[in-house]
Formats: sequence, structure tokens, C-alpha cells
Amino acid sequence: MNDQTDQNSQWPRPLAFVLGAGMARAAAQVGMIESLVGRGVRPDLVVGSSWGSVNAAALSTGVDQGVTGLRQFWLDLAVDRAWTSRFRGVIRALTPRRSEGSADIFREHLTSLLGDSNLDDAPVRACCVATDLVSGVAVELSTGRAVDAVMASAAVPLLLPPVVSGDQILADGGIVAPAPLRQAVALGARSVVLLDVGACGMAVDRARSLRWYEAGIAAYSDLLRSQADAESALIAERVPVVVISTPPGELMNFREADSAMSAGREAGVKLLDALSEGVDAPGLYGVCAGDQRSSGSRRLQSLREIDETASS
Amino acid sequence: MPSELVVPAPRPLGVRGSDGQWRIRDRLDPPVCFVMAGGGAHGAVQWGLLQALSETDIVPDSIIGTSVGALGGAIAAEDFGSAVNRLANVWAQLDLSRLLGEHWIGKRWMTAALSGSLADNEPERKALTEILSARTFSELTTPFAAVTTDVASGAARIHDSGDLIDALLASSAIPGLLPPVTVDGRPQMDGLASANLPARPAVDRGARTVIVLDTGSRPEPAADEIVESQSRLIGRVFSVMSTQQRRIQLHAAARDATVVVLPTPDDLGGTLDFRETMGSAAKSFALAREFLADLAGTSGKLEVGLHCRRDESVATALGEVKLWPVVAR
Repeated sequence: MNDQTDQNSQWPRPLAFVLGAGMARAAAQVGMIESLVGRGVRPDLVVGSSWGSVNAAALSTGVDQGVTGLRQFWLDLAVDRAWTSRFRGVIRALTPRRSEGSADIFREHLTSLLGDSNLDDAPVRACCVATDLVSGVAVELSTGRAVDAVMASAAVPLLLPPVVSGDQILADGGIVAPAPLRQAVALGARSVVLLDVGACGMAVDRARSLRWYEAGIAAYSDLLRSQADAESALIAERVPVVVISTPPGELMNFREADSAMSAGREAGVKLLDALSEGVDAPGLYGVCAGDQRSSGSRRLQSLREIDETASS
Repeated sequence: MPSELVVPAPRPLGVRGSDGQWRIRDRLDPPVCFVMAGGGAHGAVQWGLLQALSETDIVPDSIIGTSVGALGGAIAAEDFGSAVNRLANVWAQLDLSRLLGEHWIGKRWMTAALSGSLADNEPERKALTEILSARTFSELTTPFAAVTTDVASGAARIHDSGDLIDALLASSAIPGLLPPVTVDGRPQMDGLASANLPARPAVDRGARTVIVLDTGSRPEPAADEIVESQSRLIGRVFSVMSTQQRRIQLHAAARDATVVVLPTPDDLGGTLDFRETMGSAAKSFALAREFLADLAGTSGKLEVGLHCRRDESVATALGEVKLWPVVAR
């Protein structure tokens, strides 16, 4: 099978692209989208959470235009030293006023990607999921300026400041919806591609030598992972959920966007090759991504027996 | 002004047997598993819940716990008959210095920034060996399991054999604060990162009825408190995540088993504040005792689904779970 193959007809419609949480690793979703578009697979709606919302918002302006813009966005962010400097990042994280500084940098990049586009009248229906820290539940943002929706949805604690909006304090959608599948189904999706960049896991030797704050970050991504896995298993009982995953990587390393995009593309192609039969019945479809996954990173497996169709 | 005393009335309503116990056990599908959640100093809530349960005829066929819930669970699994009295003794003496040492911040802050954990687990190891007589799982009289998070894979891991103290230390190794503990060659940390309330693992291990002993919560913060400081913000984020994880666990368990969620107080202090443990236990005893009396007042088998107070809509937001409200009278 090659990139000329059209695999657009093999999905129950409407088809949703769901772009999950993963901070810097969300760059890989751009490669995944390229692989899907290369086989003619186009979404009827897109749902993003956390940094996946950047990609969702861009796709809403039109798939082809969105993908081109996104590649540039992630490459620009990778070489913006004000953004990627670890030292400045730590200072911004520890001092609330400085994290407004991060917000300014991020907003600037977002604005050159999204302009003043609106989600209401977008060519592709889109929704960005944020967490309201007051009520503790997921909030779906599908109206208003795309930039504002992403600023709220991607406000990962310590990286970007939460957005106060009326009675709500909006932050990282990943806190309660790292894989916003139920939101996609609620919007009418009858099949879903989950662009999953939230894998966690590391070698045992690495796990032995974690610093105290690294252990805290690991716990955060473990909590995200256990939610995403439970959600995938649950929603896969209702509709086909096709999962494209990249292996675990650093959440905060924005410099490797280029190789992340290549890895995403590769993962997408591999999955689409395996999916030559198409999807119709509800279930979880995916390709086991090597050692990391088999070492147990599919979390809360016990919630539901997960049937991974590793047909490659 | 000091807060009001919490002292339950001597004989609440409900159907009691000749021995004075509320009869509930025959209406539960065996095996019955007690699920004990983590929560630091809020673990004292479970002492109050076990007090209330001791006024019923419910006895666990197995116990599973995470973090402080694993500690309480191990005490109960050693000798269920004396669990309430022994927990009273433990909670009367337990404080932060027993778990982290006397001067853990002062001694270590210079090296802490680059180390694997801010505190050491030797004080906790000492405390555990003083509290428990058992050293291995096989010495316990009720089958017991402790939940940890495998640091490398991030997955929940269930321990039910071998060294008990190591498993408990690992289960309560709060990420960043206490060091991971190596079990079978793999580092393990607090189960809070994967299954703080291990209700679904209990069902997977064969339980048909799950009695949930949670640890209560702090009051919901006002909006401006949340953004007051970075530490407040992070505290709120973890509490929202853990609430969401609890919903997922209860939902996943209540699809296939009878799940009884005992009510817990929602106005507790910090999870590392050991000064209010007596008060937490008194409040949870009062709440759970009324709940169990109301439950004893209903009739028939307790069916698959979530049995809880009406305001506990936690897991039903996810749909597909049968809700059996236990109405207060």
C-alpha cells in the first residue's frame, strides 16, 4: 500500500480526529495528520485537549491549510529560544507573574497560526476541551476566537497561566480529559481516530534515578494515562476507536519538533497499512508500539480487556 | 469559638439483630471486598468508617488498599476483630514526624534539590514495624493486597505476597516526597498515580460486592483561592485529577459489581495535617453510621450498581451505571 491509496471510504461517518494531551509531544500529531491526509482520510470534526487543541484549532480553518501552518508553527516554536530555554522556563514556572510571560510568547505564535479565526463558523467543526478548576469538570469550547480557546485548553499548570473566564478558571483539558473521546461522540462522531501522544513509561534504570521533581511529573503523566486508557476502552464499546500512538518521550522538549513530526508520520503510515480492511464494528484498533507498550504502559488494562488488533 | 462536638446519638434507627448489629451481610453477594483509598492524614476517616461498619454484621472476605488505605487495610487484615481498637491507638499517635522524621526539611534541604526525594522512608519503616506484627502477606488472616504505581511503566501494580512492609512503604511513597521502593527489581511509588481508589482491581480479583472506604476531601476552594499561588494551583489540579480518577474507578466497578460507597466528610484540612485526625474520624463515623442504618432499613438483595447517598452522583455522569440512592431518613 502507498500514499496514493484512498482510505477515505472505510470509516463510518461522521469521522472525528481526537487530538489528545502531550505538551511538546503533540508535534507528532502533525505527522499523524499528514499520514491520514496522504491516504485521503479527512475528518468531519476535530476535538482537541491540552496541546492537542493547537492542532485541532488549526485543522478547523481547513485541513490542508491547517497542516501547512502547523508544521511551521511547531518548527518556529522549536527555535524560539525565549520559549525553549529551560532556565527561563523554570523561573517562569515558579513565579506566577512570569508565567504571564510564557503566555505572551505562546499567544504570539498561536496568533500567527490561527489569525483571528473563529470556531463558530469554522470550515471544519472543532472543539477544544479545557478543565474548569472551580467545578472540576471538562468544558467544551466551540465558539469564539480560536486563539482564546487554545490558550485555555493548553494552559498546562506551571507552563502557562490558567484563564479566568466569568465564574470559571480554565486550564489544561488534560486534567480531566486527556483523550476527549466522549466529547467527540457527543458531537455525533460515529468513528474516531485518536492521535495519542500521551504514552508514558521509561526504562527501569531510568526509573531508579529520577530526581524528586521528575517523580512528580511522572505521577502527573501516569494520572493522565490512566484516564485516557479508561476512556478509550469505554468509548470503544460504542464506536470504532482507531489509536495512532508514538512511544514515550519528553513532555517539555519543544526543540525536537521535526523528529517528533517524522515519528508521528511513521506511526500513522504503519497503522493505516494495518487497517487495510477498514473499520466498521465498535472496538479499539491499534498497533502495538514496541517494547515500551508491552512493558505495561497500557494503563488500567483491567478496566476492560483491550483487544489490540496488531495486524502488522 | 471551638467547632461543634460530633457525638452520634446512642441508638439510630434501623433493623438490628439480637446482638445489636445491623443485618446487612445476607443481602450482599459474596465475596465482599473492602476497598481503602489513599489520602495521607485523611486516612483517619477510614478508622471512623470501620467503627460504623463494626455496628453491622459485614465482614470482609478480602481487603485492598492504596497508600494510607493500605496501612489501615493491613491492620484490619491482621485481625479484623480488633481493627477498630488498634486503629484508634495508631491514629492517636501518628503524626508527620513519625513518618518523615523530626527534622526532615532542615536536615535535607541543601541536598534535596538534586536528590530523588525530599524525605527518607526510614522513619516510616520503623513506624510500620512497630504498628504491625506481620512481616509478610501470608501472616495476615484476611486476604490483603496493596496497590503501587510501577515507576517505569506507570501502571498500577497489585502486591499480595512476599514482604508486607516493603509493599506498604512503596504504596505510600508520595512522588517526590518519599523515595520509590524496589520490589522484585522494579521501583514502585504511591498507588495514587494509578489507582488511588482501587475499586476496579477489586472486581477484577473476584469481588462481587465492594465496600468503598474513601478518605473524604477538603472544602471546594473559592475561585480566587485557586489562583492565589502556584502551590494552591497545583494542589487543586491534583485534587481535580484524583476526583476524576475516583469517578472512573467507581464507574468501572459498578458496571459489574455491587458497590457500596460509604459517605465521607468534605470539610477536612490538609492531607499532611495530622492534628485533625480525631475530628475526621468522628465526622466520618457519624455519617457512615446513619448511612448504614438507612441501608439496613431497606430490603432485598443489593443489586449491581452504585449504592450511595443521592448527592453522590460521581460515577453516573459517565452513564450506563445503575444508581441506587440510599435515602436519609
